Amino acid sequence: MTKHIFPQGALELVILRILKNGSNHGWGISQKIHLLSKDVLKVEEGSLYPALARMVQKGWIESEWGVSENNRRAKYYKLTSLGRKRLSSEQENWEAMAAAIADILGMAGS
Amino acid sequence: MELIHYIRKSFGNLFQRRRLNEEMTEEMEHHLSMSIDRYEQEGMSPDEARRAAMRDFGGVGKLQEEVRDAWGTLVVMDLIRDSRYALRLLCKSKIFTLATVLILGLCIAGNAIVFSILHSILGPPSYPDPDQVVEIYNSYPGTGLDRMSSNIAQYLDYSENTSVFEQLSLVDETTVNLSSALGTVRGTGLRVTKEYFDMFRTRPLVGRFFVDEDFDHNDNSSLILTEAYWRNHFAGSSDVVGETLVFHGKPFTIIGVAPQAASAHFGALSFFQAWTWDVQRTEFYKERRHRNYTNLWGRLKAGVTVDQAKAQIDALDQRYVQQVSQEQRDSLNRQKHETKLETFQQTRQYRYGASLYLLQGSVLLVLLIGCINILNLQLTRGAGRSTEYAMRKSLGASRLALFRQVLIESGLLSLGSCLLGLLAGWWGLSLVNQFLLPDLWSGLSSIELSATSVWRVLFLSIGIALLLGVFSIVPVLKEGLSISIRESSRKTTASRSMVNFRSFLVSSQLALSLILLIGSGLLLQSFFNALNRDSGFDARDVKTASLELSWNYSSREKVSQFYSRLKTSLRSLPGIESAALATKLPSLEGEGYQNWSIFPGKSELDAMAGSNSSNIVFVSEGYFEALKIPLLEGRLFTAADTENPTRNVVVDRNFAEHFFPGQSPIGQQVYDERDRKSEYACTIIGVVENVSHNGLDRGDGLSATSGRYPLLYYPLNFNYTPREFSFLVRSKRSFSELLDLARENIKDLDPQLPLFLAGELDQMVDESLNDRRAFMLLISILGAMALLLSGIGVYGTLSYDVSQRVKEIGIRVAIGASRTLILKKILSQGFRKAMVGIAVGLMGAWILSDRLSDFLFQVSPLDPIAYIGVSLFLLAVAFIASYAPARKATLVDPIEALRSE
Amino acid sequence: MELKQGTLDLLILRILLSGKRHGYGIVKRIQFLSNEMLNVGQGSMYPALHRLERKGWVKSSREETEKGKVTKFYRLTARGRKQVEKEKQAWHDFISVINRVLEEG
Repeated sequence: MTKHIFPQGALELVILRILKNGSNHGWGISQKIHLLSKDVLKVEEGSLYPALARMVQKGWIESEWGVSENNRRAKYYKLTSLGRKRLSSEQENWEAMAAAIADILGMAGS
Repeated sequence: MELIHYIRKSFGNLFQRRRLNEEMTEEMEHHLSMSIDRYEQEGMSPDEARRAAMRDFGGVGKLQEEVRDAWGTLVVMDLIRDSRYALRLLCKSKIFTLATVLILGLCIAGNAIVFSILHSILGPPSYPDPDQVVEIYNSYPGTGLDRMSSNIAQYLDYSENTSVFEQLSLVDETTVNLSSALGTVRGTGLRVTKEYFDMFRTRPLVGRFFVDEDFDHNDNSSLILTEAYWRNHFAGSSDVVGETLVFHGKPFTIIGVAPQAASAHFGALSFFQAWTWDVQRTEFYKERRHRNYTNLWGRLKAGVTVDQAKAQIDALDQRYVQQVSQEQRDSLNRQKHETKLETFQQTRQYRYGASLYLLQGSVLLVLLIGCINILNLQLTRGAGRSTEYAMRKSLGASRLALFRQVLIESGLLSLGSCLLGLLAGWWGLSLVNQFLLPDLWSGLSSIELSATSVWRVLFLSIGIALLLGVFSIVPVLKEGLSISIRESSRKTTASRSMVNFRSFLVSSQLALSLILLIGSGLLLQSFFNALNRDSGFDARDVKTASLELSWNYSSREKVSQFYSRLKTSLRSLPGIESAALATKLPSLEGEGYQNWSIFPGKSELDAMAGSNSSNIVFVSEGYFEALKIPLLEGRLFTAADTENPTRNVVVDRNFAEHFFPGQSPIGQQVYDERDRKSEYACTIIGVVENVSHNGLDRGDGLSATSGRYPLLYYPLNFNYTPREFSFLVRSKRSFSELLDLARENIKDLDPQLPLFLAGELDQMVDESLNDRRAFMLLISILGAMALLLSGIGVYGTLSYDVSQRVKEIGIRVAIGASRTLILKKILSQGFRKAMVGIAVGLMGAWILSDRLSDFLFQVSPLDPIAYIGVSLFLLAVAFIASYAPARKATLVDPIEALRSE
Repeated sequence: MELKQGTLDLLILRILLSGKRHGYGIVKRIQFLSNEMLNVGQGSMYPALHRLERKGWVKSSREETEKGKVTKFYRLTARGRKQVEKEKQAWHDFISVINRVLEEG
């Protein structure tokens, strides 16, 4: 059970990064995550949606209705300029934190 | 940024919950259907595929809740629920709510108005980098002349020999008879040098600005209109270029229109003229560097500070001083001459700052008094509410929840008062614009409720309401909530410290009011002093108007011919007792008044030091008769003195006493500054009584040192034939009737001559006090507000006291205390509070009185009448405010009071 | 940056691998090792320790500190020791996935 290890901040970071490549709908984003994580991240697909709602609320992304590949109506999300700014600062934060944790994991015993 | 987005979004979502819900469902279904599709393609049965997809997705219900959480609507709904509750409570205590909103709202309106006035008068002017534009003026503190203008010599010197200015421009305000197809009117404009428009960094709205060719001295007929004049008279048409306007009969061609920023330093301007002068004039002024008739403005180069510029100017002034004669040098040193630089904002600050800050101080004082009232109200209400709080607490509301409740309540109150305040402020400002603006700040077109002041007011009211809310709940929370639930709210006896605190509030309120009232009392006294001052002349039944002859009257003969024709024509009107001409009317502002004359052996510069100078005015025969100025000695001018100049002059009593103490001035000789030779001496033929010349509310001293200033009357036509002058007639006939007749007659003399400054002299003199009147009125309104508020404060506190002590009073009555005793006791309570307040207030007024001295006239800032009178008045108000509650106390029925136990 | 539950659990386990510590000691150790980058509040530390104890990865005992005060000390159980390895692996996988996402999008 590794689900809990996926921090909320990381999920938002991943979504921001995926949307940087172009707007996408929820299903599309979840498939991207699956593809990239090779099932390491056993995240519930649905937990994507609260994260998206939170990000809309904060103004990082915005949504509009469009038509998906199989001709179904789908909500597309895209980065705002605020989101673009957030992505780079979040990425820096993430890297700093990952490095700090790596330090502890490597050195705590010594 | 993110927070703002979040809050906005949350409120927006509130109204779209249904749509959001539908979309969320649709979106999730889309996801599931995509997932199901894929599983089916992998070969699962539809049922299996659906189950697998649902498993991947997770708990739909829980996830939907999470999404809804993210919309932020729950917090907003909580807020709305609490607000509704607070609103219900506020509606229940109507009087409290109404009083609070009214008091705070009105105080806030006052502040909004004063903020806006302050902002539009003392705020930066509208052109770019206003801090780089400075006025350069001369100051002679040694003679009390702190602010004189500048001159051509300084303009030339500084233009050639400094490196700190991007532009320097000489500016001269001029008023002319402006003729167009619509008739002839008076118009004010500026004569400017070439650099003027660049200095303000403006571009022409239409056409062009002046170029070198426009400054040809023999043919400078180019004219630039101001934006205001262009919009009013040419409807903003771009065809205006090439049109002609006639000044004093001479045609000028319009070449362009200058935007408003170019007129920012002046009141209502109509035009700009290219200003040139000939070589003789340059030479003339080079020799007379301290004849200051024009304004000098300059824009500092970017990065140059005022101090740097001043250093260069000081060096040039120093160089000049080294070149002049010893006599002039000594004189300049005695006068402590200094050239000063000042931005427009500083000038305004200097001119209006003191009165505006006084106004702001007063309005803040009223706000403070109002706040004390509201705090008092809150405390009364809070004491009554402790049961409610206790109840809610015992039902499980946390201290934080109670606190939040109070905050929301206060927030609502402040919102209400803010709305009222802005509305009243907006309305008040339109009144200010309509009635006070022309009198107090004539240079401004209108004052708007500025955005900055709206924000300031908003913050102010919210801050106050929150502070007061917190103040009101703290004692309740402290007093222990559990006890009060058992007692009935009625009996909650306020603790000793609470009673003391409230007495303190009332006393301080009275103290603050007293300060404000003494201020307005002193201003009121000054105003009546000025109004009732013996002006020395009789303005009743005197009608006057001014006119200015065109340049067609090119010689002295032509002008003086017009004088006599006008006199004859006026005197021929029916019902005229006397008629005369003069260059200036007493007590009114006018041209060519503050001149000086030189008497034997003194230099021009010494005359400025005050001891050997006199004001001069040119008058025709009949002037003293028309104004009923009494003759003390000798004789008055006759027609012979003014028609064929005789070198006879009349002086006033000040002059006689100053220059010829202890002897009769009749037959004595005096010399004028321009003809300092004995053969041009004039002979004094008469002495008249002093009149107030500078204005009713001003001393007649030009300089601070002399106090009194002598006045010399020259016969009009003597060696000076001004083209601009006034006529006055004494007649019992109505003004309009007379004016029409005079107009007709003047039209016969010259068809293109507009009359201006026309009116009844007594009215005009009265109106000359309008600035003082307006200021006094403003402060008095604030004083009245303060008085009303503190009256309410005294009444409220005592009523509350009485209502709290019903039982005690009942017992007293039961054991035999007479009603009179009770009445006395309550009254003496109010009296004590008032006395403490008055004592403190008197002290405060005494400390602050200095601030007011500049605004007073013939009354000391420590005038005992004002202090004692206002104190007694306030005492009376406190007495009246205490009487009603005291009376109520005597009506307490002991049996009722004890039964309610 | 805020630490999430799972990550915090892993860090605590990893710190305790080198010996028993009290709660405050763990907080300080994390701060020290991460050059003050990671700040764990006491508020999240104690619930985490409680959780780990319930899962049987950590056990506690009341002991005296070097300053002579009695407080709760935590040490790893045998299961906890095994769990550290598992969690560490998961963390490494997770980091590499996120990094891949960040690099490739």
